[in-house]
Amino acid sequence: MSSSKSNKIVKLESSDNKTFEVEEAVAVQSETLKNMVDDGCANDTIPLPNVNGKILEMVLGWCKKHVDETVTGDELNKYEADFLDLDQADLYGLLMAANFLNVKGLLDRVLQRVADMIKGKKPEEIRRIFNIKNDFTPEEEEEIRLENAWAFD
Amino acid sequence: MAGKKRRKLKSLAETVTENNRMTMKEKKEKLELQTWSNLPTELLELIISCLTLEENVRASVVCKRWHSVSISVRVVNQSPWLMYFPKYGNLYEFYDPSLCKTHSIELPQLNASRVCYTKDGWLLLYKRRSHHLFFFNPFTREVIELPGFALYLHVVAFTCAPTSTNCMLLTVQEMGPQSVAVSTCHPGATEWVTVNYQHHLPYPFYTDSLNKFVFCNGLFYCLSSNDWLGFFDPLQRTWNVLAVPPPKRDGKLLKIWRPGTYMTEHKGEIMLIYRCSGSAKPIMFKLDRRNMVWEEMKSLNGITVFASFLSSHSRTDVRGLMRNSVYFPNVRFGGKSCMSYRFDNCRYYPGKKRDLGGLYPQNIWIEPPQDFTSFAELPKEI
Repeated sequence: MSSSKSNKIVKLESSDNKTFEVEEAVAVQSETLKNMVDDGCANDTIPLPNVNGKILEMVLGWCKKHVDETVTGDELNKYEADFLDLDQADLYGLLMAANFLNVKGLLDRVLQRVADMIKGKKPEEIRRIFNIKNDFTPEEEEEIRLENAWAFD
Repeated sequence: MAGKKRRKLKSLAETVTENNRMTMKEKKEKLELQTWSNLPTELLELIISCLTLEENVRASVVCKRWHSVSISVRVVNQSPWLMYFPKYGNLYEFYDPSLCKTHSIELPQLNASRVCYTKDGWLLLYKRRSHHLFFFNPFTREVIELPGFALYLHVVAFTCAPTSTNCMLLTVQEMGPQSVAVSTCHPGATEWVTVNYQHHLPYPFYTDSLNKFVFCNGLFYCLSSNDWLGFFDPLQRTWNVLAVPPPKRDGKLLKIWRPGTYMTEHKGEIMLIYRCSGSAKPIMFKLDRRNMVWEEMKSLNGITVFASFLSSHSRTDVRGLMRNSVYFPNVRFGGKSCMSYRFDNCRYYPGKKRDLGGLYPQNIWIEPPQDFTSFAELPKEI
């Protein structure tokens, strides 16, 4: 909007009652928060009951980095790569938060990261990584495998 | 909820590895892992959409939910068919490598004509004696006539299906040490238009042996028989030869067996494939426009190339076919399989010693229409 830095602060509260204060320019990296700001609903603390403090801090860190004009392209690439080096639980939380908050670029990166974890893996390995129960009967599973036998080396 | 947790803890006990005594924290993380099963469908769809066809198929076995999502986002690209020209008679065979099936059909319309090029399921044919040029769609049997032209060699390319308004044809012939004649036409025209062009490189642009054409990024690329790459811009009507030296390996020009040269493109990148004699691995290059060189490629990076002498196609995500492979225009074992080379494990299929197979330069890969189920049932015409 205006070229001069707005000093407007946005207050956010995570599901575990931690509060965060960020500049509006940082907060509006999230389309969800941007809509609230535009609609004039961002004057009081915004509660985010489905994002916990740890994840919210990460997301806000991402937003801050992307607003910082002193960061170079290379630095940003490295930051993004390191950012996604997370354990399972955090990755899931981040995925849900990025989706809910609709942060530009972050959701795409997390989705790609999860896809990368699936690539090249056998179904058994994928189940183990994501702790997914196999609800196929052995016959059902065999049928699917046979249908596309070429994909199972 | 509590019941679920108890079952979860029991299976955790089963999965504890020998050296690992699970701490409470680790157990808690394992419990949290089950939330991946709750991943919203639209996010699962986006994730699985990032996968190749092969990975998508493997993901579909994980569980029922992943199966239905995988199927819903699965993209399967149609493999072209190899159209196999008979030595005698009018029975043409079409080999589908993804299903190892051959369809055959009588096409008397093609009698005494040579195929020049194919694109979008259409063939361009030439009858030398009468200088008769025409488009033919073997799937719909439609014919589209063109003004006649005395082609030097039967190498003509076209941009897209002749039913489209943008369809343009092009042929190039060397006229002198640094000049070529470029002839163009389009369906509905009354004659061909020929213009002579000079190029500035101090090398001739030979067209004595069959040239390769590829239309991409709005330009007609033409590879001369001495491996220089020229291009024609149909809008600007300009012709240039790129100052990109012919591809070399270890500093030496490749001694090429000409019928084994194939040119194609993938996502705007031009590729050259040279098939070598015996069981040697094919050599591939891609055009590096920025540095103006042919860069050797060690792998096709997941693409499948369908190579034929006159025109070649590239595809990704084709059902049942080997990625990172080149399919050659030789059908073997009575139409049961096609020769190919797989870069992942550096071998030809089938595995016996290769013959050079240049005896059928007319064999050409053609794209069948989406719905070709009724193809085999087309009545035999007299």
